[in-house]
Amino acid sequence: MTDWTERLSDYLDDDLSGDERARLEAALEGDAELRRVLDELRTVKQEAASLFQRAPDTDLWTGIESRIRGASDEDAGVIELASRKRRRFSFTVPQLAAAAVALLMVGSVSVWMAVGAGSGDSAPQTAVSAPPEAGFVSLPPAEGPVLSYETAIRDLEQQLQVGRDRLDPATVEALERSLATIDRAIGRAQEALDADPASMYLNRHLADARARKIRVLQQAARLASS
Amino acid sequence: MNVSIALAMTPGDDRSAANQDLADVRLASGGDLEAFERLYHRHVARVHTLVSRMLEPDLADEVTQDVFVRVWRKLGTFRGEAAFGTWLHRVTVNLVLGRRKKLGIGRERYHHHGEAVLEKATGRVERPGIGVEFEAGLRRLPERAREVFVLHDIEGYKHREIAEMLGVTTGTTKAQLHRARMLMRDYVSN
Repeated sequence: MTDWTERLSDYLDDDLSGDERARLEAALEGDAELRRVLDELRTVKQEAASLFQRAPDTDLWTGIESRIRGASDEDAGVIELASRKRRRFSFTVPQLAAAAVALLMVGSVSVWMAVGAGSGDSAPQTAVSAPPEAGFVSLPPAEGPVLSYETAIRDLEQQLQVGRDRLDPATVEALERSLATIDRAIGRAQEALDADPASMYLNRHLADARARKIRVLQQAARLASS
Repeated sequence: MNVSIALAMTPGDDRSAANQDLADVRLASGGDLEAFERLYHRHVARVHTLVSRMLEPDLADEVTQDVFVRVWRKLGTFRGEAAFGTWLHRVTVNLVLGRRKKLGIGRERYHHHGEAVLEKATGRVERPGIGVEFEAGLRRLPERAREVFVLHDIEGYKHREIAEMLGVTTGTTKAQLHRARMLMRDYVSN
């Protein structure tokens, strides 16, 4: 004897042969319980088809952009988020100490760059970008390096302003577009960091974005001064 | 909580969205990250929803990011033979299936004496809203039944396509689908 309950999904999906369909419909005529199960299965199918899509609670774009840019900047493979999360909990005290030293070095380089650039006798192309390896430090951004960064940006922007007329309009337009994109990334990273100040990942992203802005400004200042 | 509700679309809307996608794919293939960001915003809800239904919800953000990073890297292989959304969806499904395999997601707690059982989770749903109870039931389905149910009844794949993706026969996918529906029926009616 056929267990028609097992064929109800095929019936709903119109996957039965003509003969089977006719036999199942005959069975349905005389079996109220089978009809009830069919109705319930139909409800399940309809409800499944009408479910809403749900956007993520947080904006994931910042992280995606960072990973894409990270891969292209460093010409390296994508770092799995899962492995980053694991690393977050795997630092030993010596590792943290080394990271703190690295942060201080980055800060020192930035300060040196800012002072050097501000003195007027330093070429605009002075290297200032932080080594990518140092960017993973999960400590909240220290006040010193942030001020140095702002100073460096201001100085480079001033240098660019002086030589801006030497650049052709298309270059200026491309430059402004790039800077606007980077500024948006910086703004988003800063916002996210405000909400989660201890995030190693967001700290790195913010550091990367700032380093990118400095690189772009350096290139532009170099072009403008040549 | 952002809920994007799929509004009824006309064929013209579909074409317009597809054209926008195509234009942005071309730009993104050339390195235009802003164009890729537009693609992300247009498709993230669908990707994230699919991922969270097929994996554990707490993996959804991470895997969604993985999907878009992979898509960026594979944009050069997109030939435009299908809509971008279709291609993206397939990339998502493949990545999710791969991740499930890698994680070896097991659901022993949903099995009893070799038979799948569905937890009666009444009272566990914390967030009210349309479809929330249904989604809660979905998460309690046995792994393979859930995969097939999501792909067939929610995402609209055919048995032949699902069988190909999962490396099983259509007989198996039909059996799993019926099993999932019966379990969901129990859940919904209780």
